[in-house]
Amino acid sequence: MPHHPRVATVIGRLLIAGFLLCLVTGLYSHYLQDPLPWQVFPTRPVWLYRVSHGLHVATGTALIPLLLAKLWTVYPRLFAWPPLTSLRHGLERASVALLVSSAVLQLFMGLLNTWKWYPWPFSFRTVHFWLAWVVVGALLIHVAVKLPLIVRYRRTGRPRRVRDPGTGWTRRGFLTAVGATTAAVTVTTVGQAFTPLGPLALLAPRQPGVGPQGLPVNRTAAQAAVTVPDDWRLEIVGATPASFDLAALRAFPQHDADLPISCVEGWSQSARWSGVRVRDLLDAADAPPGAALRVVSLQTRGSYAVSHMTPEFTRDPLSLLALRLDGEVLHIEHGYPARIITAARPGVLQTKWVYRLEVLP
Amino acid sequence: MTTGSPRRAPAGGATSKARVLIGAVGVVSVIVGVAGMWREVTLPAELLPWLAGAVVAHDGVLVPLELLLGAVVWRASAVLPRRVRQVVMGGLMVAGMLTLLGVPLALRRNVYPNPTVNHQDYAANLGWLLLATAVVTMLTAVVTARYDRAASKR
Repeated sequence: MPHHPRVATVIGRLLIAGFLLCLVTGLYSHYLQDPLPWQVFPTRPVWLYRVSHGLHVATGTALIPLLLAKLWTVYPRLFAWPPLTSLRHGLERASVALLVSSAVLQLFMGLLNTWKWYPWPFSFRTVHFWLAWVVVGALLIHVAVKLPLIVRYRRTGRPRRVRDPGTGWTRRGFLTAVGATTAAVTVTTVGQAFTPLGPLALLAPRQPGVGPQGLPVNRTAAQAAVTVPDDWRLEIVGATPASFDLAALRAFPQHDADLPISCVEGWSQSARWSGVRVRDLLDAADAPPGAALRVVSLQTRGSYAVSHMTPEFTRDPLSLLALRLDGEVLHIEHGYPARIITAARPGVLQTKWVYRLEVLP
Repeated sequence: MTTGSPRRAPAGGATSKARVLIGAVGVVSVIVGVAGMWREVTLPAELLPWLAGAVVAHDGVLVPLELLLGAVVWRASAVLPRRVRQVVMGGLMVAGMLTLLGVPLALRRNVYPNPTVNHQDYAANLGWLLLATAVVTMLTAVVTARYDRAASKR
């Protein structure tokens, strides 16, 4: 009997855990992109953001069947009669309506973002961020309302095998099916970030290894409307302005770093990058140690033409202005002639087609 | 658990304090979210149809479809033993969810101007996944039927 409160309680607990995990990992990703003045972020382990954001998207995807199952179990309550018995009942129903609409829209928007499909007129990031507070808040209100029921059904009660005459499900049968469905959704999508399962990512928007130089691309040079001038030079704006052409950059000590590109849309893949340490470039321009950077790209379209690098990342020996990818000169789609690559930051901050670094006081 | 009925909640006290605390945190969180959208979403009126649409699409279209399909398959499998019918329903649930993901992906294939996004032949992938679901469901059904028959003989 899937309409039993025990089933709603079991799935409800998973939903709470999942939404909270999505909130925490989502906030981490949000503040990495828009740091508050006092925020300092860890630079190790290098896969921190990759795992965190892989979990964000995989959990959000797994929440889809769980949320659908939960709402299915309580669907008959939508037609409770009389629809309103008191003010309190009205408030309770309003909080459930808020929870259903915000949670369904939040998961739907997140999924479509992984597909890079934006049919709505508003900013995905803004709405996804603020809606998260509404979802989690409405979820907590719902927990508060239902707490006596949750406490009562926190353990399996007997009899377990009572059947629902209408649908034929047993409680355990229903939960097993929901588990299988969640597993199926996860196995067919998680390979876009968890590369060992890449070949099974049959319903994922990305597959590891698919793209120029064996690496997916978030925004192509054509999409970003980039043209690289023949006389391209890297400009460093600081106490002592400096400027280097590609040959001069290649004359700097070259360093290798095995770092993942971890995209906010949920895919990630590691690669070997080679190039000049950001801190060597800052030293060449006599920038003070611990300076922050503004990185400017040649791209003329898109909201990530400029990125900021906080001091913990400018100092990090793994932060590179990369010139090569897996031993080859960077492909234009990966940011030729030079791109930023750093540990434990989202892909949108790994600015491509860099032409200017501005030292910030 | 020794009794037939689920355990009763401890009366009052800790539970009611916890309810007030959890509820208050929830209300604050909702207010933070709504205020943020009010401030930063340039056209709040554009968001409301999407919030309402999510409920209408779910409660008015998706769930009735689920109920209809479930009822059809449940009736159609009436000749099978009860537990085996449930395995079939489980297979239907998996297949339904995969279809829900696969069909829009197939429609979006290569629409975005980037050959590394949505580049797979999702219609074919979905076909293979549905076939695999059918095979696993059948195998599970056979194993369940055999197990139940053996258990009933004992």
